[in-house]
Amino acid sequence: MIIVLFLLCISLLVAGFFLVAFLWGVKSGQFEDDYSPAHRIFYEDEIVNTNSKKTDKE
Amino acid sequence: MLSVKTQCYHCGEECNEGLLTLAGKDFCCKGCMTVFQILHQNEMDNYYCLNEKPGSTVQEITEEKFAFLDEADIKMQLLSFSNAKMETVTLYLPQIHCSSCLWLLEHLNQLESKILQSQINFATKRITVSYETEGFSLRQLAELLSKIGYEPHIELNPAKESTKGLYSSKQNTLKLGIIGFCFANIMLISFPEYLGMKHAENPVMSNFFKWANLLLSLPVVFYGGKEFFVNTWYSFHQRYLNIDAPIALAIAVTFIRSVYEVVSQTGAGYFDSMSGIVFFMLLGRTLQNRTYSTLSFTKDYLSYFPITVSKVDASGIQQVKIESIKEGDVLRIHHQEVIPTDCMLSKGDAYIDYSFITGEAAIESIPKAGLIYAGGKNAGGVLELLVVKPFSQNSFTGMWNNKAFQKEETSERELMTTKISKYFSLVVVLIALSSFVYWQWMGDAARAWNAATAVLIIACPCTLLLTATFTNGYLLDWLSRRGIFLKNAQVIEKIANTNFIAFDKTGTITDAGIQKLDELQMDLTPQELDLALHIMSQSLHPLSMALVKYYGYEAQEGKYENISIKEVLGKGLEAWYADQHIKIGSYEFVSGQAKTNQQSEVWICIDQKIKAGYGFSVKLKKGVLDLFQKLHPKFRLSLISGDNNSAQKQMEKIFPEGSEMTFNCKPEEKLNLIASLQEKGNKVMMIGDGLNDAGALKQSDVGVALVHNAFSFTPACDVIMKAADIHNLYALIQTSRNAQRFILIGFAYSIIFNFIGLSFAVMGNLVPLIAAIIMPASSLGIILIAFISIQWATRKNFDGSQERLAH
Repeated sequence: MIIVLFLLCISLLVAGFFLVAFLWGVKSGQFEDDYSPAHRIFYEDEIVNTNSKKTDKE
Repeated sequence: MLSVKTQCYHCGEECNEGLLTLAGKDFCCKGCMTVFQILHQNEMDNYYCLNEKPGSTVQEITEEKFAFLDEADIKMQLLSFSNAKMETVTLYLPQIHCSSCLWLLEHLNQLESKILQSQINFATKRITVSYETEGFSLRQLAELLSKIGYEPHIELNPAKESTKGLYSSKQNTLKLGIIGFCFANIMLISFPEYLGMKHAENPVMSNFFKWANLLLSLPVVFYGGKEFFVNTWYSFHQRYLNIDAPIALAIAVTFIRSVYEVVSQTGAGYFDSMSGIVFFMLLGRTLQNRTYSTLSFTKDYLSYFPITVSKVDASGIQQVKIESIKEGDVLRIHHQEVIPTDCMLSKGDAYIDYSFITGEAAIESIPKAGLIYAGGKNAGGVLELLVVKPFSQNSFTGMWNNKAFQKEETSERELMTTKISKYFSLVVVLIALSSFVYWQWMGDAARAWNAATAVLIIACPCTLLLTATFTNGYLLDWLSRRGIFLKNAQVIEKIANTNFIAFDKTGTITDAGIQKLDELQMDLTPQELDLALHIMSQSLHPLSMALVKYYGYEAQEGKYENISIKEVLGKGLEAWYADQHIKIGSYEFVSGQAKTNQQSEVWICIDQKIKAGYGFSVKLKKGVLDLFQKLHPKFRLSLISGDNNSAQKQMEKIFPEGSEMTFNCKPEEKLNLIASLQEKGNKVMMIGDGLNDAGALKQSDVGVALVHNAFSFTPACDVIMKAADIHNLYALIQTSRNAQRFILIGFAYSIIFNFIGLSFAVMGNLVPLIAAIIMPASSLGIILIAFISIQWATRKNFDGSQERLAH
């Protein structure tokens, strides 16, 4: 039955990992603006375009 | 001459077809057309492909509007980063509302190569721009943004919201995450206990579970539960018991008893119930105390005034901060700018719009050397003014010294939930004490402790508070998506208790500025009309401008040569062209006969013959008539207007008979009227939009401020809603009343569970399993009831609730 204790520790570790991931997400502001990143990915091509423009200049 | 109506390609505003066109598209104004032109030239038509008519109507700005951004010390306050080569700034653009905005503003470097990067935070409507300083400046950036329809809203010392009781959302999310993690794991670890695992069968495992639970519950009590203890401590200091006190007591008792059970090996404790309570309480408060990052309910008058003003002196024109204006300074005020302090007119034809300050709809024309008061808006051309009083002493600031503005907020003590929970807690403590005494008397000391603590654990008023926080929280959230913003949850109860509603007129019931135009007489030939319009287009008088706009007339240079036009201040226009003598203005002015009519009228008279007349009357807001019919049977209504009584007849038609109507009210008089209504025992809701209502809004039990566009100034108030949404007022009141009833229903529901739990508890038989079933069943039930009832109430009261307006 000692295996239950072992598994419980593992599950706590896994849950702890997700908690840390969540805390990191909150701290880095990923929950603050849920609109722009979702739409920004559609403009990817052009952003690459403007970036290349910039590098051309440099 | 009137053409077909269509919609502006840029902003969707109604406009005349074929009047302003470019590339086959119609525009409502030059501003919108310019934006299109700029974007079209820079191959940024994508803006119009992502969303239809994505723009907001462009407000033209004057050349000097952003001149103050060249001042070094002002700039330093705004920049977040600067070095010799580049600067970074974050600006608030209230117009941001869709993916087109996002696309355009993040591609600013296609418009201006000096801009290195621009990024939007959609939630806060802020743009962060980095740009090279060589050949570009903050002022140019602000002007560029204004030119494409995103005029930045710059506030140097933004009024800070009082942070007391408000949550920093980031901290709060972190807390919820951690407490949720602990709660879920404690529930999981407690499962063997629920399923009947006996300690004796497997002491190692059982001990491990208990200690793991104890460990996990530490953050719940000392991190999650901290605010309950802190709030209780504060309330003790103020000598009253607040709503957090019984919760703090329940948490403390549960935790201490659980620790005792674990240490003494007598049981597994109630860690699961306790962490559940803390988690759900925090969740409810997060929902209820959400703040709107883009709104402020506590603005003062300072944010209505400009930051700097153009001062004229011997060395030319320079921008000075309004605080540093002195008596005798000469100021230059452009079209649409706010007069910063009391002044005397020294140059220019002054048309001042006081509607925001006094509620008066008509625009006042000021004679030479006349006094112009602080807060008025220049509706005419450029003016030069001589300062009579420094900014700090102007006529306008006086009102803010009124005691209503120092009035303290109604504390939570008077609220329904606080009152109920007080009695509830009292009863619970009494039951706990009596069961303790009973078992002591029976000689069973262990059971006495057991029963008393169990009563406190099971019957804490958490479920009652959960009902209130979740019902209020859902409602606030729903309303904010409909564009109605409440200052806090207490406002819901205050709205529900309202029995008297006072309305402002201009801007609230009627549209300020937008006037209904009636043709009273029309005998002009097209040639004569064209001539008259040409004359009027030379005038800056608002009525002339309205007529010119009505016909969509554009003045052509050199069409009428040798025309001589004379403007008679306050009366009208007089012109001579060829052998015609044209008079345009009031009836008295054109005909020489007096006409007693308060209504604004414009008459056109050619060679002593009256040819045409136009009447301007106030236009009621959409849905107002319907709203009054709904409100009439349930509330007493009154009108408190700062305007003259010209609209009295019109108002009498919409207000029920016997309603009090007061005109020509000064801001202080409005405030006093509200106060006298309150003395008679009325719960007064005041609805207004201007600064002249600020005192009344503050004095009233519920102050509803109407805003005309996203970035307009709102006086301090409890509710902010869009002026066009005023017809939703009745639905708002009904929903708030329903919400109050739902809280009572939820309360009754939680009492049922409390009774079941209590009957176990007083017997001293409360096992963790029962506690663990009752707690989530009542909490989750409450959350569900709150959600469903708010959905039902909003669907019933608001029409077309499916249509969700993005804020």
